[in-house]
Amino acid sequence: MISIVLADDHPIVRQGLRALLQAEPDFRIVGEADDGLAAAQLVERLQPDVLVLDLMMPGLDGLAVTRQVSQRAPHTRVVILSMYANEAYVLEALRAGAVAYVLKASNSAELVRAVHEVTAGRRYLSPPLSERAIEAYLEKAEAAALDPYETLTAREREVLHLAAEGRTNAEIARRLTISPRTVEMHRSSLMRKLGLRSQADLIRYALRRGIIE
Amino acid sequence: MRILLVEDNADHTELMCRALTEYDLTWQVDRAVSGEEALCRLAEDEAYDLVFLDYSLPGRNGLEVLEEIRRGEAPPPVVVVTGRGDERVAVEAMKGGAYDYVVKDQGYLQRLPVVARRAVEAYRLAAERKRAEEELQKSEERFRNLADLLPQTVFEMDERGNLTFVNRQGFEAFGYTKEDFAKGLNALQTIAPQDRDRAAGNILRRLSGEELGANEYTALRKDGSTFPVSLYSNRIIHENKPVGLRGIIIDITERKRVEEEIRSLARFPSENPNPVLRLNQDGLVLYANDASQALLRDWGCVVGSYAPVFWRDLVTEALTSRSTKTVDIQYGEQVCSFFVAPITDAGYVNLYGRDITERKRVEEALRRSEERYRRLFECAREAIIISDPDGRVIDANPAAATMLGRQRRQDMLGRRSVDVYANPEQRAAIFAELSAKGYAENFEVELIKQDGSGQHIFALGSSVLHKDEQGQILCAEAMLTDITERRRAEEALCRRAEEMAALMEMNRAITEDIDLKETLDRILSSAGKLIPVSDCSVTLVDESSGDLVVQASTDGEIGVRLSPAVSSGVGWVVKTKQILAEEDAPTNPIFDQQLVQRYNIKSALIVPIIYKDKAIGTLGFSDCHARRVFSDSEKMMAQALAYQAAIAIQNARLFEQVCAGRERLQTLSRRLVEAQETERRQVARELHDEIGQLLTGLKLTLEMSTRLPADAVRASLGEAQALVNELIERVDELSLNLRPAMLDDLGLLPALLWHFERYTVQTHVRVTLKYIGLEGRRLPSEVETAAYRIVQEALTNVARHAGVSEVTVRVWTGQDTLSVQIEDQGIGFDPEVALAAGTSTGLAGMRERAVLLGGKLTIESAPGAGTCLTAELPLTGRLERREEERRG
Repeated sequence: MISIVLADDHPIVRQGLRALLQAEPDFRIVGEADDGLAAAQLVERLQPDVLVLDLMMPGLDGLAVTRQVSQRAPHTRVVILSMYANEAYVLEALRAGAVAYVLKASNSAELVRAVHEVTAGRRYLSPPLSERAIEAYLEKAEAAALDPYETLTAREREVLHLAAEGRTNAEIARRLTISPRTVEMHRSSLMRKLGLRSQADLIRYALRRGIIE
Repeated sequence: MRILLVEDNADHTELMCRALTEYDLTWQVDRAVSGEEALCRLAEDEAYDLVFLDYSLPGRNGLEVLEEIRRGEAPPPVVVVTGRGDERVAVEAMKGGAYDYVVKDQGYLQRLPVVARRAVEAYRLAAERKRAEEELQKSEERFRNLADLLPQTVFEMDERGNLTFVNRQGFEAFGYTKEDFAKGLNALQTIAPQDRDRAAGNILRRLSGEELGANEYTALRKDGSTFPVSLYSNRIIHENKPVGLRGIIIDITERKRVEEEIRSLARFPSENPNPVLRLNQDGLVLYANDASQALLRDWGCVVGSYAPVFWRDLVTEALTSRSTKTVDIQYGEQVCSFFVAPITDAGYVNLYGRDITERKRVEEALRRSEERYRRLFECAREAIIISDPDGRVIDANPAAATMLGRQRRQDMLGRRSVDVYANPEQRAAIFAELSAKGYAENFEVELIKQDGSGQHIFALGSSVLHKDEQGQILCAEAMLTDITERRRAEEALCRRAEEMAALMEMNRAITEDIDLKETLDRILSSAGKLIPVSDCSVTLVDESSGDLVVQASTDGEIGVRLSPAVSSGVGWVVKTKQILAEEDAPTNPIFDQQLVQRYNIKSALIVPIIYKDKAIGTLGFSDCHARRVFSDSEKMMAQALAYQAAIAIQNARLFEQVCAGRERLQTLSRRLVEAQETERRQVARELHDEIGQLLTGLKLTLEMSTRLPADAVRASLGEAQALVNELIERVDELSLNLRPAMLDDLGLLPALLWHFERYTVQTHVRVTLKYIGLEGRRLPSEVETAAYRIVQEALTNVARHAGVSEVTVRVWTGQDTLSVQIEDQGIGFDPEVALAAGTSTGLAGMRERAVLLGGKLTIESAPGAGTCLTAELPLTGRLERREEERRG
């Protein structure tokens, strides 16, 4: 028998889910909760095999409940039910400790299948979600690391280079034929963007980046 | 007696001769028959006592011969003998020098010897008298010469007191001249009035023969001064009658003094409290009274031994010169004046000492006091000026010279002090007080410096008149203290007070008024009163361009933009934050010479308006009428004004910002309300058009299924399920459009990624996201929301306007900021124009979101050069507030 706790704040949805899951002979609903906090406490007390959890819950949201459960009931497998077919959510849920992500819009048989899969020690994502899509998403999100230097405008870069050589605002102004005030503006802007506090910081940054030798 | 008888008639000669010799046998009568013979005889023999000369002689007549005889040396008396009745001739002869005449009448021969004897007798008397007179004359001359040599006054007067003779010394002693004497001078005039009656009495008594001896009078000189005299006189007897007095006058000034001295010495020596000694010619001390003991001790001798060499020499000298002498000697604590009196006959010398220690002490004290006064006079910081009754400077100390701008005090001597007064009325008032009271105290007087500068000085003075015993003004002494600086300080103080009042006035105006334009006008109005120039103006730094813009001016154009370049005056002031004061602006290259020419600026004063260590503008004063020097106090005033201006400007700016902020808030909230309404309309339409339609379809399907046969129900439910799935999808999407739950659930990054996905699908614009510092980090929801909405809006703009197929979005967090940047390489635009155009591009909305959070939005774009929007949103402030809310 697989012991299940059901957590959803909508009674109708819970009722529908209960009917669906009880129809399975080896499933047993051991508890139900209508908010996140209650769900976490219930799971901690009952230590069920599976927690079927709505992602959007009042009190603690689904992700928070998942994180708590994965700490306090490490044996309980968390199956997330969600309206959102977005990889970001999936990724976030998986990172929180969920092992299955089932879309509410999907076929009801998928939930049963997911429970079976997770008790068998596998992960389950309802279509069109897939491990590959998650990876692609991860790639997309992580490959885009920003070099703060990119955020500098062309002018700011010129100012940075000249300032790194130790030139004063007045000299830079003459060189770029702009007013010293404007130079000062660019200088403070670029230092903010690069997280630099002082002229020394600026020179250290320039050396590290090979702007000056 | 020898008689020469000159007669040509022999009978007459015989008769006459007989008559004479018969009268006196001793008489010898010689005869001459002609004038020539007579003259020859007289020339050969001078011993004739008488000549009888016949008037009618052959050859030369009697008168001619008479003349000839008279011409001779010591001629004998001549008696002319004429014919009868020839009286007229006789008169002629007498005129010609004949002593007598005899007419040849009957009986003349008897008369002849009488005539002869009388003529000879009379002639002898006359000769004797003449001789005596000559003697007298000589004696007189000798007397006068002697008298002139005398060192005393010698005089003679007649019985009425009129002076008939005064010797040279007399003229000198009394100060009269020969001319005065020639006009007539009475003896009483030379006697002091108080002694005149006594003198007049004495003259009468003396003339009457009374012996008076010496009389002492107070003599009076021509110039009015007096001196004591002693007068001795003798009667002048003429023909047994007293005709006047002759006398000698001795100036006894010295004697009086000596007498005075002697009087004190004249006491009996042993009782004399002063030393009295007698030394013999060898210097042996013969006698010394008790009071001399200290002196003897000093000499180291006793009575009977010899005095020191000095005194021996003194004794010798006194005895030799036979004159008295006075010497001052100090011994021990005493100072003695010794009167050395030689008694030549006895061969010793008396020494009369007189203790003058006290006198010496007084003299010494006087000398020191004099010295002290002199030192005081020389060194005093006060000017001391002494002037004579005519107002000419007699003496002045160095301080006086310095004060009045004279090089040396000698330069002041003899000058009229009236010239230094700046104000004649002031001088008159001081002199009135001075002559009324004899002094004037604490008067203030304005003087003119005498170095040619014409500079005025103020002095506090006191003055006193010095008078002699008769009340005649001798001099006026004035002491003056230079209070020019004090006066200036007082005036400066007054001026400061006025300035303070003006500043207070301005301060009140500033705090009451927060409209920038009006405030600046008020500042300039105050400034113009305090620093009179032809134009004052305020320029302020334009934040965006850095230009200096003339914001207010009393006499110039407003809105003129001035270069911030350091080479312009205002630019220099803003750059250096220093005051610029130039008396001669056209020669100073620091000024923009174009402006100097355009406004004809001669002199200028520019002070920076500084707020929080930053020069935000300038306050300028310029004069186009004349060159002028700006004083230190004016510079300080200008700075004070600039300081006030800074506050006023800042107040006004803050007020403007508040107003603008409020306006923007109003606009924003209006826009938000509009946006909300728009969204609600969209949601309502969506609900009605989409969800509503689907629900209606579902309802119909379910209703139908109740009426369908059992086998058809399954198919109908399948249909209903499809509708439900679609419903769920639509609601999901609707929800996300309203607000992506992901932003709250997962944070900015997932929400952006999700948005980009949908965006790319809808617009075919590829989004490249680059970020750093966001991983696993949640930021304040309003910051995430603002960032999300800004990106969303910017991307919408890119899709609509940029005309590009890709866009880069960068997100990064700094220490306390979240920044998002949206950059495209599209057509770009002019940010100013776009912002001014209003809401169409949503740029203003984006800026509002950033500004509301205390951040900023930078728009870098130009037509054809792409666009780069950067929003920087602070995290700290809001986070702190969140912490507080959580705790609360």
